[in-house]
Amino acid sequence: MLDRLIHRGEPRGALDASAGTLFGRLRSRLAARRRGGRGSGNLAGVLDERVLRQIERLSLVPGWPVSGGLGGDHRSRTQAPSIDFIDHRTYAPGDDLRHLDWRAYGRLGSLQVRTTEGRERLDVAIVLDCSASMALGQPDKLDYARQVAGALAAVTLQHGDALRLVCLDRATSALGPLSGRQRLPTALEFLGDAQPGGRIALDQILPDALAPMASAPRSRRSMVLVISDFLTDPIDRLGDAFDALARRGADIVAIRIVSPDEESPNATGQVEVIDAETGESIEVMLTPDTVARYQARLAGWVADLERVCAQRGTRYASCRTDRPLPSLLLEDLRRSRIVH
Amino acid sequence: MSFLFPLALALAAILPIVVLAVHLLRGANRRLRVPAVFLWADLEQSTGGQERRRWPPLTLLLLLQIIAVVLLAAALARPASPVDPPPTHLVLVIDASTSMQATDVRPSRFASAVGQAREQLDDLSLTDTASLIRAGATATLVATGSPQQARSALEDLRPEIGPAALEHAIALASARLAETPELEGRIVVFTDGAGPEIEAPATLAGPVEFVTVSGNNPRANQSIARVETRTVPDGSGARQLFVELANFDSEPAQRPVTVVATESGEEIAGFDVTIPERGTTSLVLDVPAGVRQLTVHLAGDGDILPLDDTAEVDLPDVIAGTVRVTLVSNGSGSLERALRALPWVELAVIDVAEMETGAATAPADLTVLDGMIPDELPPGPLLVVNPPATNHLLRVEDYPTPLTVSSSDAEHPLLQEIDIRSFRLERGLAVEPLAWARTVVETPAGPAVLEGRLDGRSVVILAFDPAQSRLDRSIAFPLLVHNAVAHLAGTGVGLAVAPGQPVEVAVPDGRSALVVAPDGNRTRLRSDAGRVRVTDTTLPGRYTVLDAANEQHVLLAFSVNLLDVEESDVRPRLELERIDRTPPAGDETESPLTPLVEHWRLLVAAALLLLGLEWIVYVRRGHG
Repeated sequence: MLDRLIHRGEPRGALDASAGTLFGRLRSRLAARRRGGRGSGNLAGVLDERVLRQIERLSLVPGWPVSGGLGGDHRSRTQAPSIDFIDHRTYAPGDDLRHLDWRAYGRLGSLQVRTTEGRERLDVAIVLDCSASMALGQPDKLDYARQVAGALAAVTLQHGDALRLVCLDRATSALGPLSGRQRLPTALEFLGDAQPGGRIALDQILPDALAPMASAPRSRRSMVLVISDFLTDPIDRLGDAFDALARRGADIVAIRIVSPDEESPNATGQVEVIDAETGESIEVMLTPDTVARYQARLAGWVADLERVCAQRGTRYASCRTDRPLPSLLLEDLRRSRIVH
Repeated sequence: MSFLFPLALALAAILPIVVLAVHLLRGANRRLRVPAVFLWADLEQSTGGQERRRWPPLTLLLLLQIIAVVLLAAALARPASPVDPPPTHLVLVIDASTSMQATDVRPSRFASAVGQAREQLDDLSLTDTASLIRAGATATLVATGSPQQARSALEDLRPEIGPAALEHAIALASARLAETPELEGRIVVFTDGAGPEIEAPATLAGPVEFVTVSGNNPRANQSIARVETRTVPDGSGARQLFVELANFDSEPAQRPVTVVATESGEEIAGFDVTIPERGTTSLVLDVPAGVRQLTVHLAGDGDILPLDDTAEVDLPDVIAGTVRVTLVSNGSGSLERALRALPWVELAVIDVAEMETGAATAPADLTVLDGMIPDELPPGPLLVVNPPATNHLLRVEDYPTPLTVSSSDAEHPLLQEIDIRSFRLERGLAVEPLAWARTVVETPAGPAVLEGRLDGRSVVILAFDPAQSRLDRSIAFPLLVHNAVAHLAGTGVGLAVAPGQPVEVAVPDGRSALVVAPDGNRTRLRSDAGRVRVTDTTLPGRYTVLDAANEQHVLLAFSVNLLDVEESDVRPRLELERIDRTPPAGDETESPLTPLVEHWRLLVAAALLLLGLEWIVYVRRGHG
């Protein structure tokens, strides 16, 4: 609990000053957990170092030229002083004389001004659904979602982008913005501490969870990666939430997590089907025909989700929890133009 | 297949129901947590209790579970099957002695024994081995091999006349068992126990079981024990018949006795005779003149061995007048004295030279050639004594070593009233057997007394020098000469043998003889090495051997009579319990059950295998 408090957005410096030796002890406990928790090579039990090495060349693909402020690796929508040369143009009165290319004047005899492209950082928010429905499946959907989020966080931080992590559970918790690859352990620890539980209405909580982004200038658009099972009924309400985010300048990416047994339940006979979040239950006689009808219904719902995303230009990717993470990142998400 | 604990089979019916009930209840309580229930709504909801009681669908897992519990229940019932017994070797010993023809067991003891032996063979399987031994006068291995072979041989088995060599048969059976140590051996002896005590071998290769085949009253037998004829020594020529009857019953027996003239069939006497219990009685009967053959019959019912109730007897002819005998000799005192001692012989003695020169001699009914054989034999019967080394009749060589009798036909008329065992030759002759003559007395050097027919005449050869034997100084010699002269002159007593005893008849090679049995059956026998051997003499009565080419020509006639008290005594006398080696019955009572092989381990293994298979299916499919 204390560990979670430490990483809920408070500046590291403030913690260091206030906690003192307590912070040191907590760091030691976290390090011990990393060493013994889920085997060597795991970062906070979330991400394997081998995966990290495989994805270190990846970067997020923003939906438009970014404007998150200088310092990033992404092309700016405006020309700005930088070392990235683009072209020459004829000097016009008013131009900054510091940009004159005297060597070109020596060769051409006319004044030429060097133009450069601005590089800006991308504001990235990774929203992780930690509702009770994410705690199901074999393998566990939340565990897989943590890994996906951790990998995307690593991709974000290693390109100097600003990262914000939001966990949607009973009490929405957030971390960031973080910047710089040295903050990756902090981000992973945050994700590792995410616990499933509670009932979450994604369509309602999603706009509120990203309320802090609303305070940013409209010109600074953010890339919001929502990692969830998106099980909302009706699905159009999720579209409304996407619309609300988009109005605040969010470039939404929907990453759906699904487990194999969710797609193909192999239970038979009389079954009491219980909603993991609401506790609502219904009696169902599971037969091959019943399962087939369920699968058809699920496929229709997925089609609706894809339709909602497509109508809003929201990039969409579906991830089965039995899919190896490197394959997902290097193949599936590339195909969906989420990373490159 | 049987079950040692069949009550457990009820579990085989109950447990599948229990499994189904468990699945039913488990299915009702099974919960499936899903991310969102709206995807499941209205699929096929069970809203009432009736839906809850629906049987679970028959899945592979459920099927495997049911089969597994049924197998386990079957294992609890302890199924077992009988152990295949090891192959057995059954040796059947059938007593084929005379007493086995007793009819106190219908149709006879022997037939009963054969029937019981057949049942024993029927109990054998194809993998078993069976041997059949006939215990007659000698023990004979009749068949060995498959039960079918023994069964076939059993059908052809016939009883003999004579004792049963049971000791030898049991020893032979044990030897047979020893040859097949891999088989479980068993000896079964079928006998009536009517014989002398026997001692079974000390060590046998298998247990011996005696099966008694006698009836409830095996002592009810009477027999003709002895029949003799004689000429009354008063010079009248009258003849008498002496008959001795024996009773082996514990009660006196009253039996009618008839005496019939065989040739005419006329009954010449009849008696009602009371024979004391376990005793004998005798009859003496004057035989009318002209009767040559008699049949004595012990009539009446209740006799269990008809074999000894009939006797045939030949009567000596009353020699009417004299027999003219010519003795050709250079001087053999003992022979001449023996001939002259016969009152009915008119003897003429001529020397060899006279014979060789062909000097006229008086006609003779019989010629005695002493130490010579002329090139041309005189007509009529011949008695050849001491044949010379060179002659055309038979090959003779000097045999310097003293000779004794090695075998003799004591029943032959030539040896009647003679104890030939004391016969000894200081210097004998080595004589080759003749194809046309029957050997009556034999020494290690060859035949010493022969009898046969040559060119239609009867010939008797005494192939030794009476002067070189002790015989001429004993009473046996004149008796032998008497018998020979009487036989050659046609006045001797006919041949009588015991049942089963073979009789040889001289028949030239390439020709056949016809044997007419007492029951009228005719058997053709081919001559081998100059003689025909009549072996089937089991039926008492008169046998006639005819020349097959000329049935009017009688080669030999002989009678078969049992006349053996030992064989007629059909009472069980053997203490079979003393030598019975049947496995004690107590062993069976201690373990009355047939050895069984239990199969529960196999069923448990199969059930575990199915459960393992079910687990694999369960894991591969995930939770079902």
